[in-house]
Amino acid sequence: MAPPVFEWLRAADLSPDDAMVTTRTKSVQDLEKKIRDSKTFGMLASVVNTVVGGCERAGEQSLAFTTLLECVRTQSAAFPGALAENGLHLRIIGCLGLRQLLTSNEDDETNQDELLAASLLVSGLGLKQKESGQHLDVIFEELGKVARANLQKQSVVQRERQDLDWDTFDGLQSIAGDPPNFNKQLLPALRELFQGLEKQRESDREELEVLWWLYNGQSEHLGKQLKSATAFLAGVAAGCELADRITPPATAGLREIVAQAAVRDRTSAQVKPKSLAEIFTELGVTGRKLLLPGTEPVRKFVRTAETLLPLTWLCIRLEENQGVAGWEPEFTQKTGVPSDKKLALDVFTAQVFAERQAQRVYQSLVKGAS
Amino acid sequence: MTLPRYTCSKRDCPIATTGNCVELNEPGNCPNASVATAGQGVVQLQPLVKAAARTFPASTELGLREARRLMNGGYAHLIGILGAYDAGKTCMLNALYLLASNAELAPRFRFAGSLTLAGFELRCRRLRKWSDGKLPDQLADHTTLADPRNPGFLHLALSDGNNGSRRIELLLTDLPGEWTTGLVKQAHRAEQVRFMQRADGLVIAVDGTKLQDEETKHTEHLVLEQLIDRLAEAVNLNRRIPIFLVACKADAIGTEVPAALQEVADHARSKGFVAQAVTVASFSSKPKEVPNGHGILPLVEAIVDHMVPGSEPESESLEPARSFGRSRGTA
Repeated sequence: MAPPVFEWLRAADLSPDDAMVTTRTKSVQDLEKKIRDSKTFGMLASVVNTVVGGCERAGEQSLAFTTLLECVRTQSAAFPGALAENGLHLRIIGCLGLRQLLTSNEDDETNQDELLAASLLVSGLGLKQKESGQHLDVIFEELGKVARANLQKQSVVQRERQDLDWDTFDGLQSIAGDPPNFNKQLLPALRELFQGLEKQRESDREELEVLWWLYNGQSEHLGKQLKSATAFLAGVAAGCELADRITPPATAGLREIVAQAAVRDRTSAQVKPKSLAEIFTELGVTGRKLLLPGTEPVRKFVRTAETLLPLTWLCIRLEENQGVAGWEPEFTQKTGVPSDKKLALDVFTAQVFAERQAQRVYQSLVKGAS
Repeated sequence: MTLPRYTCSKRDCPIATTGNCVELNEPGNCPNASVATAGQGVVQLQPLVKAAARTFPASTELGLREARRLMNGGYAHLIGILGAYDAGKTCMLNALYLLASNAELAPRFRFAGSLTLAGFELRCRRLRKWSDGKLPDQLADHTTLADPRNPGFLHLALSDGNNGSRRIELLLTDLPGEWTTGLVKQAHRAEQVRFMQRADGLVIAVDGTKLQDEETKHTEHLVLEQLIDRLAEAVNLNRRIPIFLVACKADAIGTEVPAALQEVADHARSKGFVAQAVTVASFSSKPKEVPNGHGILPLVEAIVDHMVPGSEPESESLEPARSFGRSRGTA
């Protein structure tokens, strides 16, 4: 699929000419290569954060800004270096680079870079305010679609049940009289069978865990039935506890079921949209604790990527200052999400589910985070 | 620090006020200059303070290069304004500028700067001329472009009180009427307005009085429909870009949208555009009945707030056979 370089660049340029489209296409490819070749996930996370939050928020010294600038300058040496002159242009290059990362791999296998990028994008775009102009909105809508499609692809690949290779195992009978050769082939055959069984067990376990949780409707952390908890507390419990029971990424179908789980058996008054300030008052310490990341490296990451996991960031911040009132201006400034933004129960639950998954993906991929 | 003050026998020499000789002589060596007497005073000079001076851009319009520079840094709303000669395009721009500079767009919008102040002032100069309290017959000069082959833009920055004082950069085209009439007559002129694909809103200005006049309304209606056809076919304008059909001179025709213009809006909608017909009175000859700048603020708001219509639902995703979604009928 050809990247929409011309169409997307137009948000920052009235009419990009052919030469610009050619050089920026190369820059986008450079960016994808840099991300894929990077030994850590720092660059990728920084680029996603900059794309979602904007270059101004990240600043000229950020890894993403310098990386994006380098990718463009490799092709166009005269490209301006100041944020005020290139902020939007570089952000769009970042958008194109992420899109390229999420669409260029046609292999049917899971990929760690793509998994992290898509998880962070889905989480970061969930509460994102509309951009200041329609041409940017279209870009982010498209990027969100690409991220969700990639997660769905990976979730399907991950849950594919492959037949166990019994033929190789049975074939060992023919060399039973040749112990050295038999022993040499037995171990790999057994390993492959056990690996297959383990993968199936994981999928079965995930299904059972999720189904039992939904069937019981009982929150482990709250120690009570979801329906007896307040609506948004039930939402955060459903989002977190189900995300903890799955192997990320979840399928699209499950994402919808999680949102429905919180809404089930609620009156229309209970599910009506509430502002984030009201929601966090309702959650109290108990609710906020549910979304806190389990390890310090993940917390550290969230502190630097507020726009990607806004609700998690707020939970951490409120824990640090012991729930002191007056967090609203800082929250809005850091995350770009207004504290009076109203969220319906299902939207809130889906966001909690997305953030918890992103936490888990980061934790599983980043060295020292698990 | 005190310095001697000089006076000069030459009438036009500014040495007394600036300290510089008109003949470029050193003040102390100039044969015409003499030190002022004590009675004439000694100037008490304050030490110079290095203060950052505000730049005052002298440009009357932005070219493609300047517009590109502005857009590369942050998002700019591009508003394309088309319309025949004397339709009221420049008057709309003038009205917007004067409303913004006079805080008449408040409380939502506040003036936040302009890179083409000189351009706006140039366009407004006829309005500044006092003619016994009446509006001049011609409110603005006929638009000519510095480079007739490329569009010029006027820039106006507003602070949006509805969105945390977010800065909105408006780039407004001020194209000669010939661009529009040329596009209607010749399809190949579409290339000239190709940049409109990036517009956040397209305003088509129409002389409202022509839409009411029995002799001209049919021709005007036909021309407008042809313009819409050109935009749909020759320009292939993105259907996401909202089109505003603006009947100007509402002070003369009333604030009701003329039926003929509604029909043109229907025609645009039939071509897949998001179209709306409105009336505007940039400058009113009856300000008590129709206020000056009537319709300008809602027009700006409609463009800035325009939301892209919900996109197509995501194509049915491939769901595994044992999906939870399947059992719930959601996948």
